[in-house]
Amino acid sequence: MVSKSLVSLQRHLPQLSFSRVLAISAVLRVALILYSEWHDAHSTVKYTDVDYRVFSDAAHFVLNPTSANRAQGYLGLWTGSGDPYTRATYRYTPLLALLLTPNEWLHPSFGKYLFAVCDLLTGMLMYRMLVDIILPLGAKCEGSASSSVSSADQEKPTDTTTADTRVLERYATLLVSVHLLNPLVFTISTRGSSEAILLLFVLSTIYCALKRRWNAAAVLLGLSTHWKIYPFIYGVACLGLVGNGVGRGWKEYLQRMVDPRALKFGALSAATFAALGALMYLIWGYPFLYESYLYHLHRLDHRHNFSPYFYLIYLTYPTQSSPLELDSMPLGQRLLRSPLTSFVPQMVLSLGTGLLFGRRRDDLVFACFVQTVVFVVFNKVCTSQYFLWYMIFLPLLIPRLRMSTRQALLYLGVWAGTQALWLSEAYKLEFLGQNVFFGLWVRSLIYVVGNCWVLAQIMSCYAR
Amino acid sequence: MRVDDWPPVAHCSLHVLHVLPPDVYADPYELALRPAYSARLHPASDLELPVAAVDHADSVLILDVHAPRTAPDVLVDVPLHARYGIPAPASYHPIALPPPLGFWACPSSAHPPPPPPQLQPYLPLETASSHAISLIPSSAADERAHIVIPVGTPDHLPLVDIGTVSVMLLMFVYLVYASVSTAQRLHSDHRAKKD
Repeated sequence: MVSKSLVSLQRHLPQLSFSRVLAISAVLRVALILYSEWHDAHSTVKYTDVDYRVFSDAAHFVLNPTSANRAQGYLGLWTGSGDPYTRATYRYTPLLALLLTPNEWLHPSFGKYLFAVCDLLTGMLMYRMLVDIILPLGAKCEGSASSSVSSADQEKPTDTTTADTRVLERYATLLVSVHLLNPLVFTISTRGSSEAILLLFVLSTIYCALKRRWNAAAVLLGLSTHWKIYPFIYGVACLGLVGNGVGRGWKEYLQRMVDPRALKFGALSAATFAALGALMYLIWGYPFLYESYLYHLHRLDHRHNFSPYFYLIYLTYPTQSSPLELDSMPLGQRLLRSPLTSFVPQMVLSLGTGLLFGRRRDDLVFACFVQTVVFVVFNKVCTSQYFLWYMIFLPLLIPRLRMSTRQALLYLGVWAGTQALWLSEAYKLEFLGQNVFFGLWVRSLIYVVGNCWVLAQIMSCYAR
Repeated sequence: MRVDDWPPVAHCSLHVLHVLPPDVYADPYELALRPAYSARLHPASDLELPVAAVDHADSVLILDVHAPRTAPDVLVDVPLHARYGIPAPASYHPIALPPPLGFWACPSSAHPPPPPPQLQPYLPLETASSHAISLIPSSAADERAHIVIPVGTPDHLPLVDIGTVSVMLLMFVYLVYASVSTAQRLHSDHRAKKD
């Protein structure tokens, strides 16, 4: 039986098939990629992201080894590969540079098409998750919560089931459109940002977890973490679900996290991460280790970004004549400037919310969403691409949110408005050369407060 | 750059030399995409650090210009970037950019004369010893360029220090409270459904 809310919703659902939405999304992305080529050839301000040039250059160096540009690992000479880290500011896995080697010999925009394909695959995966798992789960929850089903409803003929499926599919199409037709999503991938690849890995991890295919989920989690470190936080949410056992209390929950199945999940995930890292290290050596991982431990992002930490870092940037020496500072200043002051709240919230909400399969998507939002908001650097990390969960979460249209518009307004407030000030700095550092920092604080408030409201609207 | 006299020797090459103060840098990867010239930069400059964290030495950018030998005016478009300046009470920091120097390099089998004194400190030894270098006279337009960049204000530091940490910790406490409340609600809802 389809839930009452879906029955009432079907009146409002557009008659748009998923394949049509996919086709529109594909055409849109191809058009933007073609436009980007024209725009970049005719304008000083480029459409294409600077990072795309970094990836492309790294791919070039991989394909064109020289005496000064060789893979520096033990197997590097044997593979005959160049070093992607010859490219300054390339701080990603070598796998990305390898994936983009067709930029050199096929077409410079190959990478953008690849990211667009990943976008579309993500949309298809979202659709399957909604139709196969999330919407039926939500309907079941409402059915069990409402008054008992009448015998007439229980005996409805098969064509009702088909109608139910059609409603689910139309609703799923609408939700996936929220992602595929989101300007932030298609702009970022067509500008050449590689987030689409990572998001496909992350969503695949969650899909396998929801399907209880734990070995596949563990391998994908290891791969995602190799690609970019932050997805390791999802392991915490998954651990509470992997283990066997019943029981409601915290004691039983914690026991589930250390039972053999959970330990196997953790070990397989860690082994995948380690194996990939070891292979990359064997071929590309210490530069891989440093640029992909170690650099991020000590990075200092002094240039303006959404995080309020930027101005503090800029004003206190260590120089050759005055390096950062915490030991020589008074205790209060040491506490304020310590890297742990930013790291501990971020980790406590990211991991803690995984533990709090990763107790039931129904709440896995919600757990991952909350974990990602707090990770991004409390990070010491934040650019627009980071928003995609949690936006990917929204279409999967919306069916479980109970809020009025007014509330939804208010939360969206605050989320977008705090960004617009910051961007309007950043424009003055970047394009007009005005000294607005203090104002920009204040707006960064407003961005943090606004996003935290929106997250708290979403939490209060979840599964009501 | 105005080139009034194209040299009679066909294989002379046209070059531009930029001396860049540490506040300004060129991105060699960006320059490599420009078809009008090829670029050599020495020393290689970090693309990310603020000026306070780099060596306080000038860098030298030499462009090998691929200009057709026709019109006297040759336009060479060079993208340059300013680093974040050292925080200072004055809100802005002026940067004086020396004018670029254009010159011809004509291969010479005999001992060429020494290069002009303005270029001598910057030209690679092998170029100076194998080429006759002649400076293209500066025009009135080739003056020192003045760029003004905004810089952070050190007086803001105490407020920024305390303000950043306070707001982040406050939001941390707020979200811990919101998360725990939500988790308790979800747990009791789930127990109610099971019962």
